[in-house]
Amino acid sequence: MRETLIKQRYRLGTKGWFYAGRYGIERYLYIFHRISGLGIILYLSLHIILTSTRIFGQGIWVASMEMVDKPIFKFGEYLVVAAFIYHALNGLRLFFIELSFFIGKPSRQDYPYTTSVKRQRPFVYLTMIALLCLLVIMSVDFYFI
Amino acid sequence: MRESRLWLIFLLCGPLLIFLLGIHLIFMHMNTILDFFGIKTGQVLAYNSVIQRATELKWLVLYFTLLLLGLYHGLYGLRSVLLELTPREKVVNRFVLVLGLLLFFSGTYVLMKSYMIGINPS
Amino acid sequence: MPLLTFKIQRFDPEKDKEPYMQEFTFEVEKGLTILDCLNYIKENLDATLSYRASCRMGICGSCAMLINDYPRLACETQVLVLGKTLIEIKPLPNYPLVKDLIVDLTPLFAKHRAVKPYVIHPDERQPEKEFIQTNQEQTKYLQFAYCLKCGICLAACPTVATADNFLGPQALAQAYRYNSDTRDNGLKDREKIIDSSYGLWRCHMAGACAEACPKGVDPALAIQLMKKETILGKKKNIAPLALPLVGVEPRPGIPKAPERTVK
Repeated sequence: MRETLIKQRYRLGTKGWFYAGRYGIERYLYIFHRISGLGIILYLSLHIILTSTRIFGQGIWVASMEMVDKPIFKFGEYLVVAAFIYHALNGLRLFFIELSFFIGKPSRQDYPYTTSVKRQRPFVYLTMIALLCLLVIMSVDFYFI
Repeated sequence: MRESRLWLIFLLCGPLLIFLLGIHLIFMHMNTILDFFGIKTGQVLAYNSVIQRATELKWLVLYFTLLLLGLYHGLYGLRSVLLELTPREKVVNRFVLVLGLLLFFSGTYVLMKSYMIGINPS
Repeated sequence: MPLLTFKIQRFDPEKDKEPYMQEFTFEVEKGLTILDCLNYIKENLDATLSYRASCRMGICGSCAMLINDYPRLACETQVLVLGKTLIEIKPLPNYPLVKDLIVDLTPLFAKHRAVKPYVIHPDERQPEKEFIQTNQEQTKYLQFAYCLKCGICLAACPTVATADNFLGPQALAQAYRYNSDTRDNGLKDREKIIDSSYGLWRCHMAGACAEACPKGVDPALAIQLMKKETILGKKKNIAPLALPLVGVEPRPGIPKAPERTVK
């Protein structure tokens, strides 16, 4: 009986990545960081392939540039730039935090407990404000392309 | 190699990429802002300017570092995600390595080839 | 007295194919904990309800469960503090289900054991005297020593949700706790286990473990500190042994200490 129980699906699976329910904002930042990262690496692969058409001469280069000069690709480009800005800012936050800056030191815990996550939260808000500013600037640029 | 070394390179690639990719993005796409600051970029995607850049050392270095660091950072991230999805570590490692080498060498080949085209148009 | 509805996940492996939700409605008083309500249900409404609990005061770590979509200790959560009239209770996610609200914590203990969670002496022989450790040295690990092994952090961790072999916040925090103990010399032993592809580096600082921990252990803090130490290398002072007492005469009338029982 026990053996069959262990075999059954009990872990949350990727649902556990996406559904951050009642946990803090960092859980959402984590999944957005992951999605934006995967999006950028997918774009990079396509980008390397597409820009390599230049070695086949001017005609093929112009043709491939015309192929991607469509609203849907422009929108994709917009998403990639937005993903890069998010990934860069949140990544900068993670760079400092994973090297244990801004998260405090171990201390004797008295109720109500403070956590490293709470101590670094001002940094999160700062990141969000910077993100908003850069997204606005970037959107304006895309609008007047 | 020990996992901590791999991770440290991945970590250090991050801020470097923010800087380099920032330059790349601003010059290639943010033409409205550059115009605002009085920097004329012209038709960056025209064939002639693409080939022109391929012969200039600063752009070559930028593209090559971007290719190297971007692929390492991105594929280490991809490996992280895949390792968390499957316990088959060796398969993941090989997949990521092959993908990385393939993209790296094709990217390097394109850089070299367009340099050749640039200095010797015939 | 307010009337509350409890929606509790039931699953009997000998009868049910899938877990289902059962509702109980009764009046509760101020100050009752979720555990008190579960006890009330078991005594008065449905004796077949299974859950694990022991000390009912947040010391044993047996009664961790998913209460209103958040992992908590049932004994430390008051029903009225939640401020909801519907309270949904499920077993902790990311663990094999045994029955009703009971999960199998074997993975937790296996991971805990894997990081050698005990003081490894600087040399082979048993120390003759006690180690001298200052208060400041103790504060460096004390917070992490309060871990109950309740398993809440592994239920909250997004990496554990997909990766079975990731060590998890609990084990990593315990590794840090013993690594920063000045009496311990197991840094090299533990490094092999922690600095692996399923160790330290699969933490991405989502922070859920630190927020959900009912004892303020803050595994996220321990893991980030350990990342830095693993990258930069850790220099550690081993606590000196106390000097043997010289020239001290026991007061008359005090009996001699018994012989050592452990050789």
